[in-house]
Amino acid sequence: MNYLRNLLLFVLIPISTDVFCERIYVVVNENNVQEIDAEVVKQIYSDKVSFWKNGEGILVFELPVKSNAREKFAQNILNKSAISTQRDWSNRFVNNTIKNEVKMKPQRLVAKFVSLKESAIGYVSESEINNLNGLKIVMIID
Amino acid sequence: MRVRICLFLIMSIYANNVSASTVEQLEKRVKELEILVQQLLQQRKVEPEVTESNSPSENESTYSTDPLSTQVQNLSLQVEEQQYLIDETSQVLDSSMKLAGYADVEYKGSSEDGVNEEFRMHHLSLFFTRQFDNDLKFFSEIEYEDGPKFSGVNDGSGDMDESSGTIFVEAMNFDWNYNQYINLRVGRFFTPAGIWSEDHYPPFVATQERPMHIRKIFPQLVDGVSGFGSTYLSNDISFDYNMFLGNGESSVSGKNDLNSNKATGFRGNFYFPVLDDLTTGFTIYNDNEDTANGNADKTAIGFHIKARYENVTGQIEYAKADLEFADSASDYEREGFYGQILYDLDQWALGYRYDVYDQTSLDLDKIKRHSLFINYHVNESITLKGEYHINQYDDPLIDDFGFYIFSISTYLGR
Repeated sequence: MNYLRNLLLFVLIPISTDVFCERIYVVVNENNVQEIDAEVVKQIYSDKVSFWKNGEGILVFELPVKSNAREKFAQNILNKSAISTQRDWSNRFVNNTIKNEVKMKPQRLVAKFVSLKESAIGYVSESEINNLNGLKIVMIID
Repeated sequence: MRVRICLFLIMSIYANNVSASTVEQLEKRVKELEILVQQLLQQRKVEPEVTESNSPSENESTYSTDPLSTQVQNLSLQVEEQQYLIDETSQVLDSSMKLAGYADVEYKGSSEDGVNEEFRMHHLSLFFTRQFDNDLKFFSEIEYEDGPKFSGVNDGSGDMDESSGTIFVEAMNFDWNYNQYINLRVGRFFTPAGIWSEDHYPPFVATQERPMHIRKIFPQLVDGVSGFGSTYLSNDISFDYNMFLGNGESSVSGKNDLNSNKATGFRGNFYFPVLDDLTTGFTIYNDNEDTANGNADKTAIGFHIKARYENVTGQIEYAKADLEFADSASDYEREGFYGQILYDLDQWALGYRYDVYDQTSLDLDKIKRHSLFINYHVNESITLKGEYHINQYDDPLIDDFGFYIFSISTYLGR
């Protein structure tokens, strides 16, 4: 009986891969004056939105699929795994419905690049932000 | 030796700082850094005590503690950073042609009499794309289906000695992306209808076998033009639209329109901020002289909905076509529906689909299909699938049967 119960629990309860303890900072350029909340971040990273409300195209930075920070971001913002989100980007590319081709960079470069480009958005873990020059934190994922 | 190299590197990096003001200087700096990386990598090869580690761009959580490896990683990042600065400074977009693709191999069998178990080299598809600038893009897909082979007799006659399989230009189009509201696509593209018509690629769908009505009510492709875009209906609700016009469905639609009428269509998609994802929409299509269906005046409508809540994704599509002929006694309807549910569990996915298709309302040719399937995502690119389908026929003269497919499919892009 216990075996059956455990089997049912295994099937019905999603396995959480969110074991990354560091905070994640969602960052934009310091000159970006858009109102950005979790829903906006979700729409940008699910490719539903590709322009800021002032009409400028959004430059989206993603982290490598195996990055723990990406797994945590994907689970918290998109409620799916990093692998699933990467499959979504690839799928949109091959079926030619992609609105915004994401740039995948190591997180040590993301903060630097976002600080250089006013239309950019990215996310990095706490330990990778050495300074906040040129950046504005719009969301913190604990 | 290591200390000397590290000192040299650090001095080199900071002596020529990032503040180089011209593209030429930056490019020179990148070359210097690339040479340094190569030197370090070679140095690493001759020092066997240095442990291997994953590239930082592959796995950031596994940085090596070895100082030399760390230095190499840092330098690689510096190279990438400098390259980005060049792009930004010169305002030049990477406009080189990009290559991607996918492939899938199947093993299939059936309980139907006379059908053998077999391997199928189903698809090898190559995508060639090029982003000319921020507004203009080219996209193409060339599909090799069933391991095609075409071989001539070589006697000057032009006769074929052997021919099998299919080579098919599935997509070839130019996009002009003006802004979020106004975009134009011209060329060959998958019909913007419902969900599966576009969203059908084997590495990213749950089954190799598509729902039965797909491509039979709305055509597979449009050779023509489409205008598309998206707008906000409120702060959180957005609406995507796509209107298209083309030659209509025929085997020569890439070259000719076999009549003076153009096929037209429209798809609307609403995105709602409920559950984790909720998309619903409709498609309408008309071809006054549908060559693929006996020159019928064909009007089709469809509805679709896709919703995800946590690990469960549901997807429904319904479509119906009215085909009217000069002799109204020949008029008939074609109708199809499927509902699919998928449960994701880490790298696994389990699902069920109920599928109905009625080719013509005149005959007893309605088919019902129950499909059970399981997927295992080895990684973000490779998927293993197992699926079992049972076909049930309204026609008592046709026996029901089941068939299965095991497959491996992979996405070949980055």
